[in-house]
Amino acid sequence: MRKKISRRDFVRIGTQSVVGGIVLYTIPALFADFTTATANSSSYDWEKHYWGFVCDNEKCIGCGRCVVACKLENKVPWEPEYNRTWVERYVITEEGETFVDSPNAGRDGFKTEQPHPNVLKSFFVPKLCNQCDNPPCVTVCPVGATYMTEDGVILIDQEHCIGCGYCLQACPYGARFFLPDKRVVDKCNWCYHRISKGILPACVEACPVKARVFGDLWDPESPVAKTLAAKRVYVLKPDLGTEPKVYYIGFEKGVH
Amino acid sequence: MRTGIENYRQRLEQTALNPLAQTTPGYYTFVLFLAAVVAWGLYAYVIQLRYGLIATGMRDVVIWGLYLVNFVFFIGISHAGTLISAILRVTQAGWRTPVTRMAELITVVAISIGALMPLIDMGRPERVANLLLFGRFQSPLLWDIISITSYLTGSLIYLYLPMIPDLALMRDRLGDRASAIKRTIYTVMAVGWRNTPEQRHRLEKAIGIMAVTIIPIAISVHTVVSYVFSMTLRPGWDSTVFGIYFVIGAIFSGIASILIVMAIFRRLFHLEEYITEKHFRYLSYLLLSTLFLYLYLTLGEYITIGYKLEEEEKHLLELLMLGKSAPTFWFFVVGGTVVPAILLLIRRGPTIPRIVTAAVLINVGMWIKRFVILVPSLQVPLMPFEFGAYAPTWVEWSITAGAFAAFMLIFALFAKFLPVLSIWEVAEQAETETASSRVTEELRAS
Amino acid sequence: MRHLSRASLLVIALLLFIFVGLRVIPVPAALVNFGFHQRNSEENRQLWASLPMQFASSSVCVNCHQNQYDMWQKGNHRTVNCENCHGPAREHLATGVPPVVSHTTRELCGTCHARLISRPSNFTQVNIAEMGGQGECVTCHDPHEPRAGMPPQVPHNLEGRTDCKLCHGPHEPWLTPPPELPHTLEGRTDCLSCHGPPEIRGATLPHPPHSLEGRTDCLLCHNVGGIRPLPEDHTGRKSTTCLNCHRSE
Repeated sequence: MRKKISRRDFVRIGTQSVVGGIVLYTIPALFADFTTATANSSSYDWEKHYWGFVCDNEKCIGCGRCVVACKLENKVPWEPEYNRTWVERYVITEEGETFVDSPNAGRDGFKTEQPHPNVLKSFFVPKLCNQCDNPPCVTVCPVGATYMTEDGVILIDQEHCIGCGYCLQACPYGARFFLPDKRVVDKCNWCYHRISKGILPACVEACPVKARVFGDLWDPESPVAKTLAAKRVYVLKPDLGTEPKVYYIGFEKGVH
Repeated sequence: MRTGIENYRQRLEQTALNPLAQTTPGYYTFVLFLAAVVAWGLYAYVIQLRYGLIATGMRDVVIWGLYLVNFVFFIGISHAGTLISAILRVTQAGWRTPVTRMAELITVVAISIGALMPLIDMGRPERVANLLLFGRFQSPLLWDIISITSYLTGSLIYLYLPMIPDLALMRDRLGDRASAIKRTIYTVMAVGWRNTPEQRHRLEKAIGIMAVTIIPIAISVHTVVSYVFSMTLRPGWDSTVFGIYFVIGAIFSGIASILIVMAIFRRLFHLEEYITEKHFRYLSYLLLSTLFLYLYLTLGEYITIGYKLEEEEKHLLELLMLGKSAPTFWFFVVGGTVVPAILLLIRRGPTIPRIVTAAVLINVGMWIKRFVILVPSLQVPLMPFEFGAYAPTWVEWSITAGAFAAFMLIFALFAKFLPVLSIWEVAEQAETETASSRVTEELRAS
Repeated sequence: MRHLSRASLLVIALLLFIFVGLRVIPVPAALVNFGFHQRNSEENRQLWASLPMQFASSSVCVNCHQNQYDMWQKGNHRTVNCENCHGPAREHLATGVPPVVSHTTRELCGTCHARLISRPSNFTQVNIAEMGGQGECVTCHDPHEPRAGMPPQVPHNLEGRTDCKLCHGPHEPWLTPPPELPHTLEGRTDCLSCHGPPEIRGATLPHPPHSLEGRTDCLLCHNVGGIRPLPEDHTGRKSTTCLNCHRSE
């Protein structure tokens, strides 16, 4: 005996089962996404490290050797508009005005003084990607091409990036830039190929006055952990809640 | 009375269908010109593909430029259409009937052109599929994609449904005046419309559902377009009012666009009988009220950041009001809002040219306003040492010109294949009006 | 209304299906999620980690360049790594070609040592345009040990020298006169009238130490502020009386 189904019922049941089926199909997919963790094959155990960086403005002499080293190490285009790291010069006058410049991003050093009279004080500030713990650039990427590793470094998958430029807007520190040849986004990754082999980033190696300190935040014996324990430090734009991992010694009003 | 309606209907059909059957040389010249501009835009895009975004004026500080301005502008005027026509339909405003088709058409065309803009802006357009394959819901760009595609789909359906009776009409009436291919297309697209009461009932129900559905989608579209900006920590974008600000701005420029399109088709296709001064006046009321809403929101936007004057926002305000962006900003304020408001408020001189002038000024002003929202915010330095510079290159201007030409080209082509007037609805409205006036007369007589 | 809710439910489910469900099929397992950051790709991380290094660090250079390394280790430049001036070692290590970069220019030295108001005041800075005339810095300073290559110690042969102030000039406050010199050089322009060859300084002025026989012009040199100034309790005395007490043995 066959039960007769009216057309209305057919449509209703059909819709319900299609919707239900789709929802049911989607749930395990969601779980699969979040649970599949991939094994780490190299000897470097990224779960055992958490990297940090200290810049000492009181020591920095503005020689720009870090910028040069970074460009050579990471094959960053030599033109001054493409930089993974750069050095800024702050001049504070007796009138309380702050002037900042960075000729050629500090690549060629600072050759001349700023033309401001009555200088109260002046200093250099090295800048690089802050590898924030709460990275605004990662959250906005529409395709997930940028991500944070277990050891706390933000990397970009340049094979995957679509070059929309949204992360450039999102980064409040101006750390990201567009590679003219690859047409994708690039930024400092603390020389991930070096630190994952236990070697210092190129800029830290290059610094002649130890104004850049790098190390493992989880290792109390590392230079970074020691500096953080001994000195009062500051981060850039702490009010944004981005939780930067580049700490600064010798901070001053107007630096951001 | 009966014959009056019949006459009216016959005249209406003739007026509406005439442009489909007859083509003037002027039309061909115009289409060729537009096609040439589009081709030039395509050439510029090929150049951009070859050399990358380095061919544009966009650099690392100002990474978004004209393309995104066009994107927001086109998505903005796309609001005109479907949203206005849907709201008017839901509220059963009878005077809407000669306007709806054009409004909906604006939506579909503008949203198609607008949606292309971010794709043109991509550094790696060949990886566009990643957006679907690896799309992340957490990114506001994905919200855009979802809501714009929904809006496009909805608008297409909403444009098509009320067109079915007209398609059937063309299938039946055009006869030899249309080519065989055209007739086949009309026949297929009319999906066997015979104007039976049941078909009518279903169609009206479907249109009703679409009208209700499209309103929240339309609002979501411009809300998430604004969220793309306001979800970042940039001065001037970091604002809670952006959602409604953009929606109102979109409706504002949208109504202005309808007025312009209406005026053009009224003149070209001799629709003076159907699109009357009344329509311009009614729409101008809507336009004026959104103008004041937009002005209010603009004021609120700047007064809240201007009062607190955080450092970066101070830079932004200086740049906007006194600095390099001041000419554009003040052009928007004066040319885009104050002058149009005066034109709309003080009713001197011929109505239609006055209102259309205001509408043109508003659209120019709103394009500039989008530029003012987008570029100066990016120019304010994150690293304190330099203000970003942005000068669009010829590639960007060419692609922009191409986009506007494509917009007009699609309109021109559409007007050759399908009626820009919703014939059956206009006729129906005329019948209702006649009927009601008869009832009134009878009531008065008794 | 029921139509509406059903339709919107269908739209939502479809969108969910397209953007979440379908996505799982083409996305490789290696690209899966990780927290809320979606595409934490182990593959890509490995790619970054496997990039070649350009800079080897000085501990690699020492393997072949022991001498330079030792000298560098002792000097003030020991915080400046080899590759900072010589360039990245990768090419050199791979091909054996000597590092092309041998920055010995005044400009390179100036990137660190040019006087700038912004530099920390305790860091060695000079007027890079005038320091030591127009020659390269390395003619006097050994870059591996900047102090080691300095000009001869005093006393040294003064024959024919006309450029005393190149080294002994008051060019920079940090470069205090070497302790062997018995007097300050501030404001002095007439070095050779004492330290010069006989034709200039006159036959009467001897090379120190000198015999005292027949001398009547002792205060020419032994005045207050001069070379070996006379003791405080000698003030007011004249050259003519010196020999009363001081005699050559």
